[in-house]
Amino acid sequence: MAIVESIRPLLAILCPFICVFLILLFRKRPNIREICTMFASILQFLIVFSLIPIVVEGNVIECHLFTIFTGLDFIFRVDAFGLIFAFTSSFLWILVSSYSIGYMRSLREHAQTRYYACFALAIFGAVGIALSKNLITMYFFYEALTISTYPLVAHNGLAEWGHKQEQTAQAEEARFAGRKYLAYLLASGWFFFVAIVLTFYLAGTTDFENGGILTVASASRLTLMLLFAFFMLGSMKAAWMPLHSWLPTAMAAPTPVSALLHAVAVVKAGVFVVVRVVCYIYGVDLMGALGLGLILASIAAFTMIVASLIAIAQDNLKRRLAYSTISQLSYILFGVALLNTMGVQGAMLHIPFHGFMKITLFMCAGAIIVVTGKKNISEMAGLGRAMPVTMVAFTIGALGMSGIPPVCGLISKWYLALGTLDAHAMGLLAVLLVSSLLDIVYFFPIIYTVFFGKPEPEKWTGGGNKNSSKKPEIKEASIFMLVPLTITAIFSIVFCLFPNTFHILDLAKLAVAGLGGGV
Amino acid sequence: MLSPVEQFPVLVVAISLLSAFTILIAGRVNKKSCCFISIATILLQLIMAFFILHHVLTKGTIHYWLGGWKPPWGIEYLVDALNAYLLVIILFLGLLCAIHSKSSIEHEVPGKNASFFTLYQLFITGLCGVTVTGDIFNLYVFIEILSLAAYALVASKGGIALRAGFTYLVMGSIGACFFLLGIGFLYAVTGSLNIHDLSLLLPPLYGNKVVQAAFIFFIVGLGIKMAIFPLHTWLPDAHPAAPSPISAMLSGIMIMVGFYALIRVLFTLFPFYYNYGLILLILGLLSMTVANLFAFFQKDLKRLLAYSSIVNMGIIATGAGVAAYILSTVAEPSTSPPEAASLAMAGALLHILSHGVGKALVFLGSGNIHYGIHTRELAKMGGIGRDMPFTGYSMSVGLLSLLGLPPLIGFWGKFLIIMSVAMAIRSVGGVVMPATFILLLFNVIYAAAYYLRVTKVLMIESGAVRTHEAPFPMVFSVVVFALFCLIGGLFPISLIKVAVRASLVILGGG
Repeated sequence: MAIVESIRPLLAILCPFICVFLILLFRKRPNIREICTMFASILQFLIVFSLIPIVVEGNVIECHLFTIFTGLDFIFRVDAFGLIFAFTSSFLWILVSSYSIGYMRSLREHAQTRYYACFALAIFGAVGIALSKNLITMYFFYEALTISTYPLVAHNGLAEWGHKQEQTAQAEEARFAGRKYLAYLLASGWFFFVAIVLTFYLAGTTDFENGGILTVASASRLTLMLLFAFFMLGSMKAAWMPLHSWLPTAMAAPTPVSALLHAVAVVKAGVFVVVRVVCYIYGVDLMGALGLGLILASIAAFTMIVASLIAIAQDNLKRRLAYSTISQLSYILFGVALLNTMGVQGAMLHIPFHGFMKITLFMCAGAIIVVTGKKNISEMAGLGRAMPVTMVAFTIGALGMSGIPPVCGLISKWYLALGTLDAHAMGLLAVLLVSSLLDIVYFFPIIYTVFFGKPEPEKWTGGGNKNSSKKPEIKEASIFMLVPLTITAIFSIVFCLFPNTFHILDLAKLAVAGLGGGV
Repeated sequence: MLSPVEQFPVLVVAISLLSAFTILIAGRVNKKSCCFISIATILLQLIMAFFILHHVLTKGTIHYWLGGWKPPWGIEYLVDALNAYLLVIILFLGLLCAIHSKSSIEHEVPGKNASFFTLYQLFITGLCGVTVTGDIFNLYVFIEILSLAAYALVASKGGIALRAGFTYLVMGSIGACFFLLGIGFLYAVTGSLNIHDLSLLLPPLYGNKVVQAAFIFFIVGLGIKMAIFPLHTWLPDAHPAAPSPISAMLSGIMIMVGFYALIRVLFTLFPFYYNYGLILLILGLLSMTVANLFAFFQKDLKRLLAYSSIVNMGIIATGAGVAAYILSTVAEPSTSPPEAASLAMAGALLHILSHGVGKALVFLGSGNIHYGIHTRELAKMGGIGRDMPFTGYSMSVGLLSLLGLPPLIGFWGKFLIIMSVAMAIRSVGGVVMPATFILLLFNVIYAAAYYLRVTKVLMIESGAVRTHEAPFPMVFSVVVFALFCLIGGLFPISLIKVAVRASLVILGGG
């Protein structure tokens, strides 16, 4: 394995960062501002894409910025696993940007400049996390991500620069969501920081190494288990139960933000951290020796089942999707907790695949809000006829979530199931199957309602033109919204038929092969 | 022949002193000229300070003998990386606070333009003098100059401020007496006042009761000046009572200059001897823990910030204490100090900068708010950030930086200290380091509670539209500070390098 020195990781991270300043600069010219976002997102994607061939050949790309002191460097490193996450984030950023343009303009949202700037900052955080070489570098971006998403979550409650704060119930709800979000994630950040310092103290470094940097000899059993508890508390972004409640509350945000939170940046950063910690800080051998795999698997299994059960009871579409996210994220934790090749590979594949499927679902939910103003599933009867493209895309996403071919959810779940077999854990296999069944139970009523329910068009009100008395015409959403959600839906299928598109399968195999030890 | 830059240390002090009296005279002719003279002087000083810093980092320590008298007979001005670093911070804060004063003084102490800026310039003179001098008695003189100016400035608003100023005067004078007595004792046993000379003469006398008494007197005297628990009682009254730019200077840098004097005296005169590392460490941890508890319950914004200054003083003292403690455990004083020690000290020095900038920012911001709605009570400030967006957003940045959130500058100082403690847990052993570690982390999160509360009050709570943005100079200062917090936090490496250089100076081995 050769190490290639290159500045490209830095460029990929700086892309959204510089974009923030351009967005602020062109705040008075919305069209130029949006072009900046699109341009930066495409540029970033191309840079990340150009890294893939190098990494697939088995190389690692490094970019050393500076050394704080011995053992602590500020350094970027592109390995196969990080690249999967970076690729997912940068690809979906293009689509969400386009979607945001359609969504924000249709609803005539306030403070759009702040929105796009914070969005770019969040991507900066996510890609930074993906490409960090050690925990310290990662922590830096981890907190940047927390802070930059706060104005997005509380968007509806925070007035524009210099304007008066709104007093409506909706604004209050958004502010509450923002506070809760910040309280959970800042506390989590503190735990993460403590865990990092302790790791540094125990191992003398915080670099991610294949096979882990901690060993049984590093510290007592109890200390290592406590440290893992700190890491888990530090990754509250992964929304594992019972510390998940910030995520459904954060649904008060505009839909593209929910898409960002759920599919691209925040929650994925949380599970990414867990995978990094399990595979590259502890190492699967140590995890097995300490019995932590079983504990993590129990948390994940609990979350998978309970979140699915709660999801069934939700009538609000976004809330149902939120609980679905909580459940699906735990699939990733679950796969890692199996501590074997198939399980970890399934987990790594589920990061991009779930991203693509969930973002399709959220974009569909947003399109419905923009066109009809409806948020509850029971009010969406018959919508499939008025918005066929949107609802077909939604169906594809829902099928994928449930693991039904030909959508990519099948692939990752297949590997997870193989992982449970390899681990000889029939109980866990049962959990996986039951959870998949529950996915069907909460998704299919939606599909049934929208396609076969009796339409009640007189109840539909346009989301954008609240003031006009004229009945809005119910048709597909604007092209800016329709194209991204179609693309993600198509890619969800492509990833199933050709899992090696963009070398994703190769990258996952490569990442797993490098782990060594008991994998 | 000295190069021009080597003359700068004395010029920095001299022009500042001259400018103070020029302002007094000019104020009689034209009231408006006062602030411009002050700003121009400080700007000039700041430029000189940058030259000094550059010279010190590239060519080495500057020695300037006042009047050509050789030490130990004459007064020596000695500038190394530590002094130069502090000098730049002092003048950077001083400049922006002076710019802020241009508008805020009209509002807070109307009609006293000339006397305010005279005192302000004297105050700056004292601060600069403390940092450049290498003579312990001269150090005392400059501490008195800056303290006297500070007493008057604190009391300048009249009314309740007079009482706060008087408390401060009494406490400060007691501190000064202790310090002077300590100097007298050392002079009695050694016959020298030059710090470097003393450091050569003292080691054989460490067992002497007089020297030991002097050691204690230094800690008590300078402990009052730097407001460390339990000698902090004057601070929560004095700082809120002063006009905002003065609060910013007092909290941001004046107590830090006290700290500088203390470490300069202790680390140079008593290296490796008395275990003052433990004393500093305990005082620092107590300060931050107790002051954090008080800060949480304050209803007055400036009072809350004043307690937060004691907290940060505690963090800085802890950093220095950790460094000294690690040094004291090293069996053989080698040429270069252990990395953990230099990092702890570098963290403390970096925190002086980040706290200075952050605290000055929020104090100035509270001045802007006072300008708008004439109150310091948090309860009445709900949503003021909406009316004054620049002030509001800048203050949020400052508060988050004080909280220690990456990627703002406040993160790095705390981070270096915490990391060095983590490194020391293993190398030093014992319970002191683990206990420090836990207390530090506890305090970091506890402090977050009130910083976030203030941010929430300013930015998120709703309130009626009452006012509009403060005048340009006041906004300018806070925005520059906020940008510095952000940029310094994103590109910290050169700052860290300077801080490490400075820490090596004080720990030996630079």
